Amino acid sequence: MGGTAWRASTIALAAVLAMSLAAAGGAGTMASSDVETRIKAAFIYNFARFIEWPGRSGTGPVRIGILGHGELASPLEEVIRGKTANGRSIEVTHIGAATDMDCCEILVIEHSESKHVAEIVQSLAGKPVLTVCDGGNCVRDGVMVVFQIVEESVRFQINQQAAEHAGLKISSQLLKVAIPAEGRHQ
Amino acid sequence: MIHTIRSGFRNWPIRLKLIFTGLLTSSIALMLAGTSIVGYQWYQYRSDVAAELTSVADMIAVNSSAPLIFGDQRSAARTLAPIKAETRVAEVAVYQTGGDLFATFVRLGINDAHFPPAARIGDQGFEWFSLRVARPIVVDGENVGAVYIRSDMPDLGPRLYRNASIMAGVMFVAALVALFATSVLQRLISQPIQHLANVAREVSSGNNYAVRAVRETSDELGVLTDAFNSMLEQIESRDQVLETKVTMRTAELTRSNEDLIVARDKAEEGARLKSEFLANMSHEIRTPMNIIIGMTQLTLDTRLDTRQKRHLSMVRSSADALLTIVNDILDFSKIEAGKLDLDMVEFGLAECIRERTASLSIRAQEKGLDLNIQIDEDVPDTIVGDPVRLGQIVVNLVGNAIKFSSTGRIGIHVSLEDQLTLKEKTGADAALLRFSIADDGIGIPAHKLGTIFEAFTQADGSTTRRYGGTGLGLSISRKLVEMMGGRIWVRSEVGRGSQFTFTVLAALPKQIPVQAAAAPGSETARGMVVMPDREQRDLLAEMLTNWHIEAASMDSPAAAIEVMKWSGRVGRTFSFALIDSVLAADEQGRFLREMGVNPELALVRIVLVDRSGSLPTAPGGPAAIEWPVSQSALLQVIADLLGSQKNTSKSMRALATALGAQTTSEGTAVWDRLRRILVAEDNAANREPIMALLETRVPTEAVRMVGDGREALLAAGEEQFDLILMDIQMPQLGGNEAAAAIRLIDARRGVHTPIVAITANAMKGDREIYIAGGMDGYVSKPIDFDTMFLEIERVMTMPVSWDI
Repeated sequence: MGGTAWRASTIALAAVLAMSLAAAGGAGTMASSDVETRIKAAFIYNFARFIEWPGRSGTGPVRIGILGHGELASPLEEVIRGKTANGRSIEVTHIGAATDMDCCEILVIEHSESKHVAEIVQSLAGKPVLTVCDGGNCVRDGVMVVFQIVEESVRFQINQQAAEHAGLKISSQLLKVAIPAEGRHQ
Repeated sequence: MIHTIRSGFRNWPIRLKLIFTGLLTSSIALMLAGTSIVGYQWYQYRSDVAAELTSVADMIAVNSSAPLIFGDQRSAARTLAPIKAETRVAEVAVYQTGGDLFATFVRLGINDAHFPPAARIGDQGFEWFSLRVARPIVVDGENVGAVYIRSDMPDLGPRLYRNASIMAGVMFVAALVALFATSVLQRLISQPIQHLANVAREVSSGNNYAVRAVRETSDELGVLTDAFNSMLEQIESRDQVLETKVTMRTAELTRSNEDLIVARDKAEEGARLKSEFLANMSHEIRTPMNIIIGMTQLTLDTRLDTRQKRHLSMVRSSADALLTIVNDILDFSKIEAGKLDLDMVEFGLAECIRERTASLSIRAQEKGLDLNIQIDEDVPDTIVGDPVRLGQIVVNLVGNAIKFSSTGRIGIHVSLEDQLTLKEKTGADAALLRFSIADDGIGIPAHKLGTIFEAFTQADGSTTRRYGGTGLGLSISRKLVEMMGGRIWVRSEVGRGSQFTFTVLAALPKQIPVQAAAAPGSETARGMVVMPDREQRDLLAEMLTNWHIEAASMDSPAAAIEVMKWSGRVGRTFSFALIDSVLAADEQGRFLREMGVNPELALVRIVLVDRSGSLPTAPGGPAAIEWPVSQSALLQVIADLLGSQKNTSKSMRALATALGAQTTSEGTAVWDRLRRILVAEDNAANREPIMALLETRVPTEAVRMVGDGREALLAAGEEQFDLILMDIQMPQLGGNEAAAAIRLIDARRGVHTPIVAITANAMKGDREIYIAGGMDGYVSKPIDFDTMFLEIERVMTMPVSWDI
């Protein structure tokens, strides 16, 4: 079954790339981690299309804040270049301190900050910011979206309770695609 | 083919045409409606399915958008799973933007799933039982893929089948309804037409213009019926007019016909009365004329001086001429009045001609003319017809020949013109006889030949003056000939003579059976002449042949015996044999012995021809006749001989005729034997001439006169008469009854008194009636003296012995 899964993953990747990176120019040959990173970047962009932030002004740009240092920042910038989500433009910003964390709609927590996840989540409690974490035990820490590698494919898990608590509306379509909350993945 | 179907349809009965048309129309309408309904249903169904598929596709598109974006095929497959509930969906495919298949669904049971390349998918498409729908997958305004759905419309087939079945059922019911409706309708249309046709047929077949068609509706057929009826009315009224006209015309015609019939009857009655008057007048004239003639003759026989004799001779000849004229006129008027009926009796032709021409031959001899009668062998001896009228024709023609000839000979030739052909034609036994009378007289000019048979014409007026006569004779002859089924014509040359020829169609007596060959009156007697001299032998044989005796002549008695024996064995017995006494005595003796012992020859009477004049004639022995044999002596001997044999053959009659003629010419032998004569006549006017006539032959006291039959019978009882002249119509007792009574007296006395009937008018079959009634002869009134003498002489010389 491994073959089939791989192929499916490849297809999924190809689809994501085709859609998200088409405007990024020729990507050239990349390592598998590169591919993974870029898929994750595309996913982040696509999250913006399936989530509504009722508590905020619906007209301004969708701001994606990157906390810490990691691999996601640059592919993400490539992905969102020239794109919109539900008619809103998209901006990527680097956040240096935790104080500014609530000034964006999506907060991507890089690997460098993995030890502080719980604190970050704590500080954003009740604020309409979608927190995204790349792997690890982020789910347990209350991060809303956590990337995982399932059967060599990039998948993600959604903490619906946390998202609802923050006042975000997540599309059912997105929920359908996400890994079920507990013990749903094999 | 089509033409025949079309012409066949054209000839169909209207009933069938209507039904057929109704069915066809309703079927076409139903089929159109059914097809439209089914088509519409199909279209509707397809649209429904298409709409449904589209919504399904849209749902799939929405649900597939996230899996597509996030490349989650597993999720996509999950998304497609509920499609199973949509039974109409056969195949579903989700394509990525690049056209690659992302997820598919194939209904269980479909093995040949085929997904077209994404680029070739239109929005919507149909195949026969297949509907395809494709929808793009759009997320946030971006085309991220496509959905393709195909439905094989599984319930379309059953649904169409169900609809078609319903349609068929409806069509069937509709056809039945249409059939019923058109049947009713056709009754409405074709029945009145049929009714009209029936009426028309009745009119034409029965010529009955009184019938009318019944009008049931007021549509076009009603109009047609009215028109037909009015046409019939017109015809009928015209017929009535015509009929009235015909009736009127017929009545007119009948009236004029009746008028014509009345006129015709009047004319015919006038003509008949005229003829009757003429006949009566002629008859009334004939009686005194006969008396004049008779008395004149009687006076001529008395002692007269030359001058008186010359005057009386002129009276006599003028009276004869006048009587002839009267007779001719009587005959002619009888023929013209259609009152002349021809007898149909059997008679001997030769005998008839000889009898009737006997007196003419005397006249011919007086003028120095030779009268010769020749009758061909094949002419039948006996024919059936009217001997009196046939004789009249012959006498007339021969009389003319004598009248208009001064020298030469007059020939009567009878030949058989035709027999077989006639037999075939008529199927009856008849002979067409041809009589030819030729003379060497003055002849007839060619330009007169055409008219001599017309009445009241003679060769020219001067002829009458020179030769006398009425000119009616030939006309009467022609009419008689025509009545006898023949024709008459003449060939003549002036100065060379004339030849009158006529034909007569004579019936032949019924075929006589073989054994009846000996029946009285038809057979001939046979006689044998045994004489060494051939010339003498032939002379005697010829004499016998002249009297209708079949003669055989032999020179030796032995040969004669042989012939007679042989002949007797075949039923042709000889009646007599003449044997010459010149034969040796022993030959004669042997001959007589042979005659005695042979039973075939026992009845043959022998007559010796006595050359010595000394042979005794013993009673019961052979008769004898003196040599040289005279015809009259031979005649007498043979007649006696045959008479004693009760021979009534033709030969016997010929002998009697010859005897009568001989007596007439020879004279008075008969009258010598008449010593007592009884005359029964009631009319005094007739008594006187009869008395005068008899007085010329016998003494007055020999004649006894009585006035009726009763007196005659009394007289006959008182004494035996040698001759009785008996009037038929008498008061008290008629001639026939008196004769019959006298015959009873005769029987008692063993004698036969000759009785001659005197009849008022010779009528058809009279002779036979009188003979059968016991008379021996008859003369008809008015009494012709010559005829009366001849008849008395004939009766007296008739050597007949009667069976009483």
